[in-house]
Amino acid sequence: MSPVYFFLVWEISNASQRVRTDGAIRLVSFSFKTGRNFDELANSLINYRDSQAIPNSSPVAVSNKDYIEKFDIVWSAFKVGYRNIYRHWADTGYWLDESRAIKAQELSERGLTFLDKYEADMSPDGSLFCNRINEMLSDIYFQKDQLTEFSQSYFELDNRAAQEQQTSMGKLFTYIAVLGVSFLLMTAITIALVYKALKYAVQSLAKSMAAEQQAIDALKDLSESKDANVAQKQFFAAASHDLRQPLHALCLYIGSLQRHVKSDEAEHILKCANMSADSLSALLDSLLDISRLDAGITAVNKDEFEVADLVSRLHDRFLPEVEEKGLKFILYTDDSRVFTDEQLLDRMLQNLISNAVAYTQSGQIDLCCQRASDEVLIIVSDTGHGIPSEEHDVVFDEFYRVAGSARDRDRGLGLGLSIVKRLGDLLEASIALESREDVGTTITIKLPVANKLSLAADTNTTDTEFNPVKLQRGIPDNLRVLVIDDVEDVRESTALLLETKGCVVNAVASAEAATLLCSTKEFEPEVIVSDYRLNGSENGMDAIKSVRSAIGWQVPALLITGDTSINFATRREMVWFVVLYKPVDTRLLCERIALLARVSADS
Amino acid sequence: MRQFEQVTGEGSSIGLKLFVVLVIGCWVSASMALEPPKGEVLLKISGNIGVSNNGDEAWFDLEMLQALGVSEIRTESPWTEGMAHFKGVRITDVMEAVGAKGKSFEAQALDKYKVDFTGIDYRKYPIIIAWELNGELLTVRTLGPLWVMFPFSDHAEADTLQHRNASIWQLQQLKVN
Repeated sequence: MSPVYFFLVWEISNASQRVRTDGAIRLVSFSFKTGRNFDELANSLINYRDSQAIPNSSPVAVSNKDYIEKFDIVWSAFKVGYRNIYRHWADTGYWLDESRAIKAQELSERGLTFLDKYEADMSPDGSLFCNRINEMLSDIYFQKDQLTEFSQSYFELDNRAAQEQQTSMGKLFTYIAVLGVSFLLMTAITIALVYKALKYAVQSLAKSMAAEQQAIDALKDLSESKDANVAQKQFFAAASHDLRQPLHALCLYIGSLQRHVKSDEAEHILKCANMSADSLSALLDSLLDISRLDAGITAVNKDEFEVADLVSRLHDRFLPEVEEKGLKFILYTDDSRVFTDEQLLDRMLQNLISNAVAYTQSGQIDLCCQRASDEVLIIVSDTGHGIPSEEHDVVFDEFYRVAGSARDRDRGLGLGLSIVKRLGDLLEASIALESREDVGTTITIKLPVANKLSLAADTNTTDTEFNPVKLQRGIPDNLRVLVIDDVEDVRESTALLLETKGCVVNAVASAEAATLLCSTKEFEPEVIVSDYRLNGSENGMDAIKSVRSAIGWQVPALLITGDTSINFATRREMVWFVVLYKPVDTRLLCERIALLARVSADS
Repeated sequence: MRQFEQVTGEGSSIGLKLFVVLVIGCWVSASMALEPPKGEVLLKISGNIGVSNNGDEAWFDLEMLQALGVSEIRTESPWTEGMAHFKGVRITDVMEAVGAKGKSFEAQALDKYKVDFTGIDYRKYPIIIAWELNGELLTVRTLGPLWVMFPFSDHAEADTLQHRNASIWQLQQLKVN
């Protein structure tokens, strides 16, 4: 771009120079010059005339040829110079002004006439008379005036034209200069802008990279913290074993103490202590459930079963409590089957029912299961306080408790519904809440109905393992129970409790001791009660298995564990096998043992 | 011995200097010897020159110019018809003949028209001061008696406005500066 620009400037500059030189000045200078030549000729003639000092009309000899040379110069100007210059003008196309051409032609012809007129007088040998000189001078002056007038007029004209041309050239120059400068400026600005934009781009790239890095870091932190969270919860879940252990022992001791208490006052105190232990146990259960659910380590073992069985068992279990409060407990069932984790559903319903019992002072509680198209609805309904509608959204949050229920502190931490919610999520069951203040609350759990095709496969084992137990007959007398627990405290308290219930107990600390005891036929247990975690790498399942193989038949067994995180997925491989979680409620323990005793007696 | 040698050396050095001065003097006087013109004076050269024959000026008649060497130019020009045949002497030869010390010169015509050759390298092209055109001696009427001519046809790049303006006719004087 810039070479083109400079070429343009140079070319225009040259052109303007050429026009000025070629045009006005050449013409004008020629005219002036010719005028001056005439002047010189005149002066030369005057000098000649004066130097001769001759009288008028007398011939003089020519001794000075100076005027002849001057005449020749004029002659050459007209005859050669003018013709040539005229031709040059015609060639260059400058001579376009018609009036000027005519005038120049006229002057030229007049000059030629002058030259012809005096040609004869210019002989070196000839003579020149004074009057002839005077005549010549007058002609010369006329010629000179004509030329001067012509050159002056055109000098002005051309000068003006040249001036204008120069002005316009100057303007053109200015425009081009401005154009050039602005172009350069624009280029510079563009470069600057591009540079700046690039710089910004680089900067923002760096920024975005930094941001990305931060995001990655944050994500990493988050996942680490998530990991940490999970680790914490796993720790909590594992620690539950150690938390449950002493509480479990406490419950057992209280249970066995009951027999030795004679006075009413002491019995009252013991009853209070038992209640406190119960509620402590319940609270711990809730907390541990939550922690276990949050830790994401709760295994879901889905299976197909009849909802009515589960619901009836729950009805049986809660009936004493409900009747104690003077409430009616009404059960409706049909024969719907569901495919879900029975144990977890059991826990959901336990929570719902105990909530209903806790918050209902009068009226009734309905427990109902029924099929609605391809869903099974399990409904727990009460006539209790109800939940204000503005709190419907938060009832499933942790530690939510219905306003005004603070006095029922012993009823729980308000974890019940949040456990239900988590279990519901886990089982992919939807939970609907319907509640009106002072009218009551209805909670509906919706579960998908079981696939009929999978029915046949599992029905038999399920039925043989868990027959619906509707009547609690208590533990038969002299039931032989083998207790396996490595912790002496727990082993002794368990033994003590069972003995108070009329059992014949043999308590050992390890699987090895138990196997040894049974293989010698010294003691043939009818029910095995074992702790899950035993010394070293042994566990209760292995202990039960080895005892069973030593005895030679599938002795009904009860496994007690404080470790909520253990997945008893293999449970189904074993028959006559029940799991209880610490701290074990003594009543529940007795119920289970009674159940297992009946199985044992039947087989 | 040492002293003698020195004296001898000094003596020989004086002799050498004397010799050089003599030679230069002879050369200068010889070159300054320019014959006065016998015929009509056609060209007067003045200014920064080393050789003269009329006061400070060197005057030339036709014979003297022809004696400097004759060159020819065949060229077309704006002032002549067809291919013109000029005969004259090279300006460089003229400048050498007058011992011109300046770099350039100014030319003046009979009608007082002047051209300054500053800015023109007169050595670049074989420029001549012509006295003859197409076999005829130039007169005042035929733009003579001397006419500076450039070889326009042989050197197309020499045909510039500046050179045309410098092609001075009716040349009378050169002033070396």
